[in-house]
Amino acid sequence: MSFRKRCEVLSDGSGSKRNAAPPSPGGLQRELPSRNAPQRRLPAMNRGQIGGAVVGRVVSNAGSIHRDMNGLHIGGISSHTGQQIDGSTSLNLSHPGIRPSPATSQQTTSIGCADLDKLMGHMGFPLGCSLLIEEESTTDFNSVLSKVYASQGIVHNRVEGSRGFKDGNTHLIVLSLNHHLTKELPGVYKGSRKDIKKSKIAKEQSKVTVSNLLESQSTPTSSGQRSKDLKIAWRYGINDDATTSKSSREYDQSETYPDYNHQFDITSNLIPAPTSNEISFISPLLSVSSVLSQVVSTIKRHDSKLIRILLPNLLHPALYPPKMTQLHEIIPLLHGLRSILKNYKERCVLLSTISTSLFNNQPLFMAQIEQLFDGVINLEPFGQEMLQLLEKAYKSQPNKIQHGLVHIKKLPVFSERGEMHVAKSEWAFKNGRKKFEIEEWGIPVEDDEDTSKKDKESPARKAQPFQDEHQHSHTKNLDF
Amino acid sequence: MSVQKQELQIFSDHTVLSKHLFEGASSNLMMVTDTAATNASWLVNALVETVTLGGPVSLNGNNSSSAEVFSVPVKVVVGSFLNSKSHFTSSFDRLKIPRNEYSVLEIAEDLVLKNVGKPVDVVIATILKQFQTALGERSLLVLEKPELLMALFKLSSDDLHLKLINPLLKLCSLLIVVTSVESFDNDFPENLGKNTVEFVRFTTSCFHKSFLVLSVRPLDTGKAKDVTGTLALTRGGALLDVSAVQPVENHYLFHNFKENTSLFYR
Repeated sequence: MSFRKRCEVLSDGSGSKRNAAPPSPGGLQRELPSRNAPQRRLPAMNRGQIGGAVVGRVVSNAGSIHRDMNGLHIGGISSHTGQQIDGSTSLNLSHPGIRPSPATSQQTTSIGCADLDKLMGHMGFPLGCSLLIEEESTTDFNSVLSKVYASQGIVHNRVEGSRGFKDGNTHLIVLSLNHHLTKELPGVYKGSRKDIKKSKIAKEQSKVTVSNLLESQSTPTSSGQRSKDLKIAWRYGINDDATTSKSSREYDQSETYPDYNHQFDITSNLIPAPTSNEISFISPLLSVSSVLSQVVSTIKRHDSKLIRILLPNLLHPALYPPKMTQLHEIIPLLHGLRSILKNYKERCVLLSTISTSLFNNQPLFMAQIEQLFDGVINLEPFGQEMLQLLEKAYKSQPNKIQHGLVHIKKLPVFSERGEMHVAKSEWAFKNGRKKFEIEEWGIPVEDDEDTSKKDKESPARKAQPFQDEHQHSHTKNLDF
Repeated sequence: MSVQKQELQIFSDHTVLSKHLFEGASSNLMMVTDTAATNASWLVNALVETVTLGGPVSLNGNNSSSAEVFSVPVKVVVGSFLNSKSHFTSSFDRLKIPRNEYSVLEIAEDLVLKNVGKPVDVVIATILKQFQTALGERSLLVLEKPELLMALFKLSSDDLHLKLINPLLKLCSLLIVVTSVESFDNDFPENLGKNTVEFVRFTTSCFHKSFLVLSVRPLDTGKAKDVTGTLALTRGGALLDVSAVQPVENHYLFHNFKENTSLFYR
């Protein structure tokens, strides 16, 4: 049993009580170790006040359990969170949206897209780092990523039930004039309509009612039907998909960090819409000093919360005046944001999106902007011809059609060390209702032989319509 | 099968940084160029290690044999316009360089917040003052990404050289300028912007002033599993102001993986 589970059991299984720890009467306070085990790699993290009245090592995920000199105290909710006890401003490590990076042990948070988290090499986005998502051409796939990033922050903030709502653990700062973003944020994916319907039916059937009992008695062949269903499922590999697509390790991780990342349905809306306690808008068109000071004051106001900064559609001509596209106008803003990010690196992350099609003839301009970000990825949507080819190749599997390529230019932490992580045309993305997926890219094989054969045989085909019909149906079966 | 690893040698006396550089009143400039794909942080670390620990111990899996502790203590000062102080201190801590052996200036931390709207001369004078207090008679100064000042304060390349690089060169024995040459390889369009001209001019001026250029670049042939990039040592436009040693031109391949860097002759 993991510590998390143990904590949950001890605190009546209520996740909302994880942070709550009453101040110890003895003054010396020590809490149980948490899932965020690699504390030693983070010297600046919350380790308690040294030399002060309260000497304690505050660790995550043990909010409701603390030990003092007199013994073990379980439960109890206090208005103090872990770090509020020692008065520091660092982030509470019991935050549901934080986990250590498997590569570097740095604390990371989810971007909101599981595949992009994996692509970063940290299963997320290391705190204190910034990511720039570039997009070529005039498509707007990057807005999906910026919205799921925003939604993920709001969902983290609401994870811990009513208490989480009240105090909050995450705050989103959006540097944009588009205040409608709050109404456009996607909601958490709750399964397909079929799944929702099925779960409703199962819920209804599980109720002990007279009609349900009668129904179960009148259908003795239900077990036979079930085995038949399973047989069909096995044949088409339906059940395999669920078991093999996720490795046991992934299952462990989702069990250990259940609220780390969520799947979002871009056709739905986040309900209720974020409030001013969860999201702050700052205009990037103000003077650099006032933008930066507003960001700093917002970070200070939301002390001990995880701060997710979003800078969407950077230098978009509809949002930014032309003068902002000058190097000496935009670089101070980005440099200032980077400085703030590094100053509050224990609880801040920054995501920005930009369309590069406007700056294609200015490679140095883009290079200077990219230099100020820790990670840079580039989305290159496919052209019409490529999409047509993919549609042809995946005629029977339309959900396999990718929408573009993902190029990696820089990865947070790794590239800083000097490691080379440039990956061009190695990954492809596809945007669906329920997921923004990134997968390995492989050029699809188009069955040219069939088409050329058909072209050659076309005169003969006219003469033998029956045979052709037979051949066509045969090919169809083969495809299937 | 074991692969032979080669050691980094920059000077004719088979050293990475010769002790003769810090003798007398000479001032020399060395340039390190990198790209976004291949950051030169490992090379900067190796150069700092050479002065503080006597050799680039982090290279080639701590098997470097050219450890030679400098007889005269050399002050190492690092100033970056991009990275914060904690970035360097944590990196040097990992390499076990004692904190009293170097000093990192806090320049990038509040560069914009403190100086936005101020006259450029005042900003540069403040930065210079920071360096003046930190630098000593025999010192090595690592200056990272000074070109950012051009974009931040609308400074021309010539002004940057006259107001910052030249005075700093006079203050230290060896000035290492780390600059990015990202996108310099691309064919610039005909309508070359003013900014591009200034950035290229800055790098070219640095090249003319330096006695050696250490160029860290990715492989021209693309990504490889066992090679991260190339390190080319080429003479710059200036002569070394020390007669006892000369820089040696060389070409290495390097592999950087999980904080370990291995060098190979090309």
